[in-house]
Amino acid sequence: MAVLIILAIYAVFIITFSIISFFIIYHLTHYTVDSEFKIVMLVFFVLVSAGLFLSNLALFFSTNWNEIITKLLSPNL
Amino acid sequence: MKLFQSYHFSGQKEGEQIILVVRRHWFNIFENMFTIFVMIFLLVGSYLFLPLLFPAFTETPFNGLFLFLENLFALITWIFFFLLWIDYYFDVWIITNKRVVNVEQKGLFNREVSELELERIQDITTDVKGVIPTFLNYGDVYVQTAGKTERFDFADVPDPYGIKDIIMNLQKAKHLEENNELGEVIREEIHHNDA
Repeated sequence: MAVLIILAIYAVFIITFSIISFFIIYHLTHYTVDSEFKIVMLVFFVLVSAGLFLSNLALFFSTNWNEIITKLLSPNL
Repeated sequence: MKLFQSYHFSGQKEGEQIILVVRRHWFNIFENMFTIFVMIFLLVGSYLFLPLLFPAFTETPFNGLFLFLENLFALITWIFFFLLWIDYYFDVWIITNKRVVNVEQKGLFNREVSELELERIQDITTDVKGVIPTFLNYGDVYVQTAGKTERFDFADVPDPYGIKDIIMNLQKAKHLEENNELGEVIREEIHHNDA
C-alpha cells in the first residue's frame, strides 16, 4: 500500500515536470527573438532535462521501496 | 544592423529593422538566481556531507534512496532555474526603426505585449537610483507618450542614458523623414501648379 502511495506521488511529480517542460520548450520555440540562441537554449534544456529525467526514473525503479519502508517502520532501526 | 540579423519577433512589419534588444541588467538576474545558488550549494553539500552524518545512506537500500532524492532535487533545481531564466530572457524591449515593443513575461502563463510608435513619444526620462545601479550603470527608462496615462517603463536596463539617446535619435530621424516626405509632396504640388 505504502509503495503505491509513493508511486502515485511520483507519478504526479512526473506529470507536473512533463507539463512544465513542455511549456518551457513551447516558450523557447515560439517566443525567442534570437533564432541562433534559440537552438542553443533548446538543445541545452532538452539534453540536460532528458538526462536528469531518465536517470531519475532509473533510480526510482531501482530503489527497493518495500525494503526501505520495512526498515523505516521496524522498531530495531 | 548587422548585430540583430538573426533576430525576429512575432508581428515584425515589413522593412522594420531591429535597432536594439534590451533586457534587464545582469545584476537583476544575479539577484534572482541567488535561490538557485543556495539550492546548488545544498545539493552539493548534502551529497558530500550527509553520508558522513548518516552512514546508513552508504548502505543498501538507503544508498539508492539517497541518490534518488539527490537526483530529484537536482531536477527541481534545474526546472526552477529555467523558469527564472524564461522570466528574465523573455522580458524584453525591442527598439526598431518604427516603434518600441515591450514584451512582459511573468512566469510561464502571463505574457503581455505592447507597442509604441516612435512618433507618439513625447518625453523620455532616465532614473538611476542607488549605489550599485550607479556603479554598474543600470536603471529605469520612462517613455511618455502623447496620451496622458500611457507610459513605457524599461526597468533595470543597462546603459539607460544610451538607450534614451538611441530612442531620441530614432525619433528625430523619423520626424526628419516625415518632414522630407511632406516637403516632397508640397514641391510636387507647387511644380504641378506652375505647370
